[in-house]
Amino acid sequence: MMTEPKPGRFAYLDNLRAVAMLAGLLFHAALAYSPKAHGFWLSADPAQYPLFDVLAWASHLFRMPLFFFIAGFFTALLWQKAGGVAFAKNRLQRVALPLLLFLPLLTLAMHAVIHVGLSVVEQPSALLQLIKPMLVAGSQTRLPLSTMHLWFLYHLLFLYVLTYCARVLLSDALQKHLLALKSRSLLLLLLCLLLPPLWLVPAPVPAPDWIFPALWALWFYGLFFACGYVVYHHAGALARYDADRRLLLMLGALSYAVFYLLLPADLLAAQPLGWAKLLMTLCEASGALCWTLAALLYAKRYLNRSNKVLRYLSAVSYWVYLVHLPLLFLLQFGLTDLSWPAGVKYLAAVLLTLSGCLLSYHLLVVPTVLGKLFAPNQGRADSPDKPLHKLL
Amino acid sequence: MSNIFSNARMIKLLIGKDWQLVKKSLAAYLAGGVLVIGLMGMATPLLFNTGAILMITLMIVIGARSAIELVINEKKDQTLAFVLSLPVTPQDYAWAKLGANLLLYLVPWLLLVLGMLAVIVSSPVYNGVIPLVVLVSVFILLSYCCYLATALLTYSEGYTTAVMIITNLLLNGFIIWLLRMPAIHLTLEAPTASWNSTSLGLLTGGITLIIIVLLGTAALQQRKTSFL
Repeated sequence: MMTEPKPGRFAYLDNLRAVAMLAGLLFHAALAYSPKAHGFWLSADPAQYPLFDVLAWASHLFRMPLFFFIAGFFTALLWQKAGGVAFAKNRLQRVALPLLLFLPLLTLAMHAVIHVGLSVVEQPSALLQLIKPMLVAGSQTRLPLSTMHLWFLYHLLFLYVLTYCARVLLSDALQKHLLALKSRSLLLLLLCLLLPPLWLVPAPVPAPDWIFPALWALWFYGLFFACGYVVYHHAGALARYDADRRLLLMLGALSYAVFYLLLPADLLAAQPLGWAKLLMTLCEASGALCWTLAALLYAKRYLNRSNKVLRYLSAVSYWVYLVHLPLLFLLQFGLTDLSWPAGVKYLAAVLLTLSGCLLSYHLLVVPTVLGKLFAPNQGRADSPDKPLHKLL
Repeated sequence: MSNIFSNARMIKLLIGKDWQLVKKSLAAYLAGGVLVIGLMGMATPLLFNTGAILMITLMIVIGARSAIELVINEKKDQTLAFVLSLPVTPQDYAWAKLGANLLLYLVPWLLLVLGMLAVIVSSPVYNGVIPLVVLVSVFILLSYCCYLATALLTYSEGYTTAVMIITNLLLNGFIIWLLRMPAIHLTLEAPTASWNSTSLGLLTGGITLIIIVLLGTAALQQRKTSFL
């Protein structure tokens, strides 16, 4: 039987979503100092340290799956509370409109930042050198169209369409049949379903940032989205894994350890083939699944509260994620030729980017019409249980 | 004389009723559309061509199914008797049918065409194919308008099916005819879409024919005095 949880009980999901968004900034910043990403990251720095790889790819394994799980959960909530038409209007305003507004702006900003990088950086990254000829006037080759780090908004729109299709075409009985499976059988089924999309792409999962939906991404992230959607209607579906949370954490860590060992030293180099590829894919799927579940279960236990700091982080995280990348690259270009240790550069880049994003939030978002898109709760910060999913 | 505004609320309800009748099919087509655009987006020649054929098939199937389900079957299944009991005139009914069918077809048609264009623009596929894709899509829309008009004016499954068969046969001929035109053929592998006088002329002709068919259908429907 479907249960209807109270919105106030979902503080942990708002907090987790904010953490996942802000972790995006940490992840992107870390790639500049990652030996594995050296060949393809725009702001790759001469100073590198393997620890960045270990931490960055660990977060990459479950950050976006977690985000899509939460998006699926709030989709179910909003659809049930507000109805299909209000849901569509809400998503157009909070997902489609920011995408349409910010994709051209960020593309222009990124082009400007790349020009700055090309003119100031004395030790440019391999990618920066590669795209240099494309920016010369009259060049036949152009930079490919990309949704950049906003790909998740773009794919979310497709997942909303597919959710509508599933709501019309599939019966609730399917959910019940799946949930009737034993906990571990269900986990095993999910694991098997995650394998095909991961098999199709190189590891670790790339950003599906072209201007069209990537089927593997809709499949892979769609599964997490669907899990979130089902968990809203069947709260017990998540709770039954609570006793296994430590095991999930350990299994995730073990999977990640094997996955990391199998990753090539340079991610542009040839990927493992045959059984090694299968093992790597299995570990990637298992790590993503176990850590996503573990993150949800631990967050429910320790992050299910609301205070001013958490509400502030939840409110700013969407804006920070949206605008951080050009600023981060600009700062990292400025830091490239300095002979500081990688860790110091990383901290400087993260703190300055975060400060810049927060400053822009208070200058450009709160007092302007953008506030309606990104800060609908401003002025009501004391309301403890305001459903922040409206910001998603 | 009745017009579309005289009983707007009832017309809206009838359109809503039609939407409820076909929403399952449309949801399936929509999911199919996402799959096809994803396939085309993989940007290999095989998958692009497979996706393009599936896309054309999808557009034809959506049109054919909605015309049959919403117009012909209503008469055949005798659900028209229910409509007779409503406070609507034959003109209201005609407007609702035309509106519902156009809306239910144009939305997925537009999404599929825009999706296909987005794939072409953002993938290594030559942008020179854009005029061909647009012209074929407009031809499919024109075909749809023709058999919708036939269905609305005759309520005959036989006539409507005949028009469907003819327009589908003409589609193949139309594509071959386009590909044999130097103005179209020679620009297919161009890096940008080449809208020359031939392609623009064909596009204008296609859109004009669509408008004529729709206005003609609406005018003939206005003259109806009974549901039968």
